[in-house]
Amino acid sequence: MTVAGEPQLLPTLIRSRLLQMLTSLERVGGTPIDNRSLHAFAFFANVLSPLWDLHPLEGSVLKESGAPYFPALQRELDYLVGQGFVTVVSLGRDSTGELNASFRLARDRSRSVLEALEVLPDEVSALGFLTELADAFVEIRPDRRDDAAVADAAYSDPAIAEGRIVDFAEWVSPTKGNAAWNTAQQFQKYVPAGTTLSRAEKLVMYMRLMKRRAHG
Amino acid sequence: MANPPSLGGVSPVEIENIAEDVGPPTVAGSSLTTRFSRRVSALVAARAGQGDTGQFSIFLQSEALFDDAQCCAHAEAPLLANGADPVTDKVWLSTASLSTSFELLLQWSDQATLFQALRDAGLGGFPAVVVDWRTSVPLGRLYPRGIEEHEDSQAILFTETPITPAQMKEALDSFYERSLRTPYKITEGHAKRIWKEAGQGIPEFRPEEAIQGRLLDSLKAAFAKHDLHAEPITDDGRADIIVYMKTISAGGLPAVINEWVLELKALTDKTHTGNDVPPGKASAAVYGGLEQAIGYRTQLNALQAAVCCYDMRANDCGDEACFAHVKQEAAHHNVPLWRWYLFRSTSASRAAKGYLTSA
Repeated sequence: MTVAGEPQLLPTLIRSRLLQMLTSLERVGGTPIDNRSLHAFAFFANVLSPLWDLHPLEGSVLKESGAPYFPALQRELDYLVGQGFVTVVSLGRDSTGELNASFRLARDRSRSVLEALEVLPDEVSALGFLTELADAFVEIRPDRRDDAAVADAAYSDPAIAEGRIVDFAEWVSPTKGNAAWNTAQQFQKYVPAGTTLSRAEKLVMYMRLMKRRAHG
Repeated sequence: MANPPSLGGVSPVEIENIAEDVGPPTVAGSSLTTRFSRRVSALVAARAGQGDTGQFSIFLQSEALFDDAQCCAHAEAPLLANGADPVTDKVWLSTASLSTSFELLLQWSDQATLFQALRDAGLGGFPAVVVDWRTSVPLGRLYPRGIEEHEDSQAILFTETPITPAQMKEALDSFYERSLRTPYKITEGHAKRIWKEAGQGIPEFRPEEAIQGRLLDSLKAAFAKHDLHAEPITDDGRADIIVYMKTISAGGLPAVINEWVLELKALTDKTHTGNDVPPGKASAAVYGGLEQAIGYRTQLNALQAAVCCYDMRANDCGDEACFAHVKQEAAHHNVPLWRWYLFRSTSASRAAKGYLTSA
């Protein structure tokens, strides 16, 4: 389930994107982050990346009873933990008995990789996007962040049953075929005449909508 | 007829409600330091309302909070942003979101020992908001590159009172000195370029756009209780900034007061391709800027408007010559004409400051 180009490159791309995600979350005080919230953040990063003209690393996800979960992302997160790029801050079982860990970036170990990414224009743009997203994401209560992903326009589409694939960029257009992107664009219709929303404003307004839906 | 776009599980009413309740969020697209400054300002305003008194507060912005907090003894303050705890006479370390914070337990007694304690702890390069509580209304100053670079700082307005022309001019002057005066300052911090070839006077394509983006960020930090929005760049190079404040009308309804319209003009004598700009184009741009400023102020029912000219031409002709053809009209309509000269080299800027001119 990928649209990120050459399949053999995907693990490397996911690892670098994970380091960028943790960097952006760290910048805004969003770490340590628990496993479910990290997958929720990755989900928003995928569905909203077309706002920044970035291609999502994964273009679809299996709709399950809980929040979005990316097995490939989890594999690479485990790899980064094993290699010392990511630190496990806590590890335990939640009320349902499920294993849950929280993570943060191991800065010294990751520094050289992040510095290498800083000279690649697309990756600089990706970090800017992720930082904008992280700043909006941490406004959602920590215990509701996975709920926010469940409330996402594409994921909550009633036409897609549990056990089916939520496709936002795999076989459909990452823009017009992506309900999250469509929803973000719709804000323009409701702002005062003469105001043109920037992509950052659309992103933040979309995340405020998700926050409202998650907080109830 | 084309199908409407799929909104998945979201209803149009929800979108409309968010757009009405939230509006274009001012922090969106801002630098992390501007976000930090605005959130600290909201906290300071809340604490001032609670009657906090004291000498100073310093808020330091970290991008690696838990690592940076190890610089000295500290105590975690996860709920600082709620505004329930006194903040005076303390040094705080937090992130752009203020989502969690640490009080840094430094020893100091006055402003000199406070700044020295920060330097000794290795915190002199951290973006900082310094609040002076000794006056009737707290005074704020943002040091985007830390207190070590004390010349690179700007005042922060914590109050919700209308921005006076003097306050606006001071913020614009500060932005120019910190960000535009020389080509070196323009490229600091990987900022978007304004000059393609400064030495030859060749600007980047649409220099107003780069100036607008950076100015907007700087003003958002300075006027922390106001909202700001940029209008789109158009083919004629227009770049407007609207400064407004959300309030409640006398009838108890939500209202917006448009305080300032800033009309930006970059005056060049070369195009971005290196060709000469026809004589008279700059004068026409200033005239057009004044027309637009007056027009927007009227359309938006704004309190104030100003024309802000960023002069990138080879010769600094001075304000008098630059604005001679519109001076009367601008005075009649009460629109300030402001101009800043962008030097093409650091040495030219130094020479203009006249360091070596004998008394």
